[in-house]
Amino acid sequence: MTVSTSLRPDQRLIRTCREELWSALRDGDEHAAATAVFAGLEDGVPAEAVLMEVIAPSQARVGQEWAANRMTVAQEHVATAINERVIAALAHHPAGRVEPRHARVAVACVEGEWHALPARLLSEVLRLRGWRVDFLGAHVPTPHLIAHLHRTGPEAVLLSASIPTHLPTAHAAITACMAAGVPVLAGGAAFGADGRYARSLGASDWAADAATVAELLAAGLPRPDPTAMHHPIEDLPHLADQEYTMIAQSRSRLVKETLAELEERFLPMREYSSRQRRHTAEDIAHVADYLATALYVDDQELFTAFIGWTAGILTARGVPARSLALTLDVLDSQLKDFPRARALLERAGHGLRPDPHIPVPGNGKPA
Amino acid sequence: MTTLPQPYFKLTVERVGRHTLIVRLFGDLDHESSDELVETLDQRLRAERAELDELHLDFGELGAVDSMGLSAILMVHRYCEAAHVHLHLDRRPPHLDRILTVTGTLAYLTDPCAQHEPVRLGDTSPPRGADPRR
Amino acid sequence: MDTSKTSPAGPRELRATWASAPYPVVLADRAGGVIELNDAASCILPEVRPGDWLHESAPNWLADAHQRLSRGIPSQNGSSSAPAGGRIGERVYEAHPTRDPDGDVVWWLVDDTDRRLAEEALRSERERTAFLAEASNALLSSLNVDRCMEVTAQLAATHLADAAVIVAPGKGRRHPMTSCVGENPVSRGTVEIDTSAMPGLSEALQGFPPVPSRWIDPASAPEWVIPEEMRGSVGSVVITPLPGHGLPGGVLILLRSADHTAFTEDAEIFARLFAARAGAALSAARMYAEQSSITTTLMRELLPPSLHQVNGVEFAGGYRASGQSERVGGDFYDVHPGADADQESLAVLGDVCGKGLEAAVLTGKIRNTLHALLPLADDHQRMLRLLNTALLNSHHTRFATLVLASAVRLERGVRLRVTSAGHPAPLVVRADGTVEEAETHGSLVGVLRDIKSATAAIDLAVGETCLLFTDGITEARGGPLGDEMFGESRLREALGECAGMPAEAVVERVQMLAAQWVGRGRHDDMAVVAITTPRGGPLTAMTLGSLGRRRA
Repeated sequence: MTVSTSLRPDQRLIRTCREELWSALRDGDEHAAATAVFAGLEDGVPAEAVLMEVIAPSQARVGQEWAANRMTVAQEHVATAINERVIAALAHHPAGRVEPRHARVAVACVEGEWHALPARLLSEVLRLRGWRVDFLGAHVPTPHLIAHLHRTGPEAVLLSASIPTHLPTAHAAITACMAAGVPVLAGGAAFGADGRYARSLGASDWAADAATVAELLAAGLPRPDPTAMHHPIEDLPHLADQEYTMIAQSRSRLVKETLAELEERFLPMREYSSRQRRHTAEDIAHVADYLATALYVDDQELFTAFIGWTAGILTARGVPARSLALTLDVLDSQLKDFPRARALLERAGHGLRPDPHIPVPGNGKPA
Repeated sequence: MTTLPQPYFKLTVERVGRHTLIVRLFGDLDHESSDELVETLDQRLRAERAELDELHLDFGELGAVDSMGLSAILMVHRYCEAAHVHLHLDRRPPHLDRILTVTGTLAYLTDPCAQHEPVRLGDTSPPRGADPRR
Repeated sequence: MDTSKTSPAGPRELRATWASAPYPVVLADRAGGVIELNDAASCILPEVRPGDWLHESAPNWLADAHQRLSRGIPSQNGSSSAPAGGRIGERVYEAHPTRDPDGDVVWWLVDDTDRRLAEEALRSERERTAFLAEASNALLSSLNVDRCMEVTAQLAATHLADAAVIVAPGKGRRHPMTSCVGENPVSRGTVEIDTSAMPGLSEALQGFPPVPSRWIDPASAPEWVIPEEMRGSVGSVVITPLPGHGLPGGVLILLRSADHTAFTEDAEIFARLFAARAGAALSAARMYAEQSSITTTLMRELLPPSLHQVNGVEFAGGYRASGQSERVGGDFYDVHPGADADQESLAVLGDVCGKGLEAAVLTGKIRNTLHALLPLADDHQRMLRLLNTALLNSHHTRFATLVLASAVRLERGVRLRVTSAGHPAPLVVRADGTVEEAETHGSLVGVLRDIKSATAAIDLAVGETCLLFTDGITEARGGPLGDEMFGESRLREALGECAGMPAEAVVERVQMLAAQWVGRGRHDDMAVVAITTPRGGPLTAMTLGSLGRRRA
């Protein structure tokens, strides 16, 4: 019934196509990228396979190369822009043209989420499978999303988030959509490799990839019970201790004080340029954001994984990981009255070994 | 009860001698406070224009200023021209000078020798060519 | 059961007491033989006489209760103290036993009918109130008309009737129709209706004059009213108008199958209460739809356009309004493509002082005026002077600042003429990452009688970008320390990393950094436009088709 199952794509062709696209992306050569992808199409690789098995892996590789400091921010952006253009052109190719025969769905990234490519790929796969897709893009403010739902009345919202720090915002969006009577299917790395946060934040369901999304949609998502008066706090009873709220509100002060204390205790910082100092402040702010998010979803793993990943990033850029351990120490001393936060900090600190394994939270870099 | 720090704005108007009005601004001149400046000076100029020659806006305690703030200063300038009162912008902080420079209004607002034809109050149509009343 | 205690006086001795009691009283022995009845009992149980067996002549529930009591079995609800009860004729009685040590039992029968009726009424009233509250919640959750009709049909088909059909006001004879049978999925469609075929229908669909709800004979109902699953089995049909609150509301048609009880008057009143709520929700949804379609039409004019490559010059733009719920504001941009590759295209980016709709209206005026002045775009000064004159207004000093950028593709790159009218000068990122400020400055427009400006000429090599931005970017407050301005130096630093990027990647990068800087804080309108010399021509289906074949 779908493009991908009616034909068995030749793995060798796909591999060739992927390698050609990758080398074009690395060179920032838009036309070479398009040539690679369109040649694949004409050699018989189905459009969905081009999206999911050629473009998606190449984009994931961009994130990995950036993390390993083998690609600059600019190269990363160029590669992403090229992929987006290739996807747009694909939609106009005869192989990518499909008449809609299913209901309407909305695809959106959570407010603050700029990694739109996963959602874009999902939109295209669903379009190929005959759904009427409204792709609302990156960084969609919740009020805009809700207005869209009221205006168009879709069957479902597919909400994408890559970076875990957007989970509190995602929770607000999920609650609002469900209250408007539209089921929410959450996706993207932010919701955890097993989708655990999608469930704890009250989404109708979670899907690991576009094919699963299509299957779930085809099976039909139940409408949220519109008579249930649901309060978001019911999803996350631990928020009653206010630790998240207070840390999120005093974030700036926390960063300032941590920065000052770090300067006292970490001697190399005294030699830092103003630019390095600024980056350090940003790093501390990220740690505070992840800490707050881990408190929000009440999950140690989220914070530990982020700290391990950051240690890897810093090491790849020649910054001693000791500064990170020290940052956790300083935060710990500032959060005396926050038992949940301190437990998170302590256990993440234990995980900081000289050569840490690098789990990647999200598919890119911190917010 | 705790009070949150509010964006703060205050305005004092002082008559010095027969012919001079000194207006001191404290805090942010922005979309929330600009109307207060315009309305206050409109009233004072209407009431006292016969005797006034000089109006000093003292920006020594000025906080932030946004485009509505600049619009208010331009309006005060217009009122002054209509009343034949000379406007002075005193103790300007660097960020005010910067916005006046970028918008190309510094000379217009501060140069006493600048020749510019006023847009007359009460005109219903935009001015065109030479003003016959001059 | 404790039978060791003896009562001071057995039932037989108390006969004098109960014989004249106002309650019906029956005395029976342990085996269930009736010993005696008082007059009140004989009155309601004329067929029971002394000497009869309870299980032969008395109501079953009383005989059972007696048997259980005699054998010491707890009553069905588990509590031996709870009275037995049941019907006698039209009325309902509770039976309270008194025993003596011999096992004789006096049954005191208490007429409970009115209390039961009151309790019944209370319970059904509570259920209805709960249902109406639930219905309101469900109906208010969506402002989408289709969804609202769906919920209405579902609720009505599960709580009020066996099936529900909603006919909405339509265009001409065609009307949207939503129907639901029991718990089945809702079906939607349109029907062509002769509204005169059904009494009350045309009034209800026009919303005037008001009509009461009414029963109709299922046999005379038009075919489209009866859902397929219910064909031939409909027992009763009620048509209730949905109040439209100034707009036509449509009708709710309730159907019950023949093997169910028909609608009572009570049920019909209840249906009307439900219809009032459904009608209110539907009219709110209709109003919202109408408002939002008007706003969408107006906004289409006010929203910044999506940009793309024009005649070998790459343009990209990004805009974010300050208000959470607003999409238009005081910042704007446009690109007016040149007629052909030799003609300059004109990009405009500007900022009107003020916020919200008022600013958006002035923005619209500026964009329209500039569009009209396009033939003069080869002389920026003149264009700005004319725009200034058009905007001058003696009543206020609302002004705008803007940048004009005329761009044409030459062989080696893009040639730009850039003029600032009181606006922050554009920044240029060179291929090596150096960032320069365009040497242009000028006066704002809309207030001064005479304006001045200076135009800069800039050549952009491949991969170089000229960035036009509003001060919402540079003056965004936030950052890790919470209250810092994003500032021009941070913008320059960010732009320095954008050498060689396509225009939309530059725009996205700048927008993303500014948005992340602000975080969840408040910000002003933000707009950016990037003008870039691309590496090659634009990707189109045509060029791509040939690309694919070329390799193959």
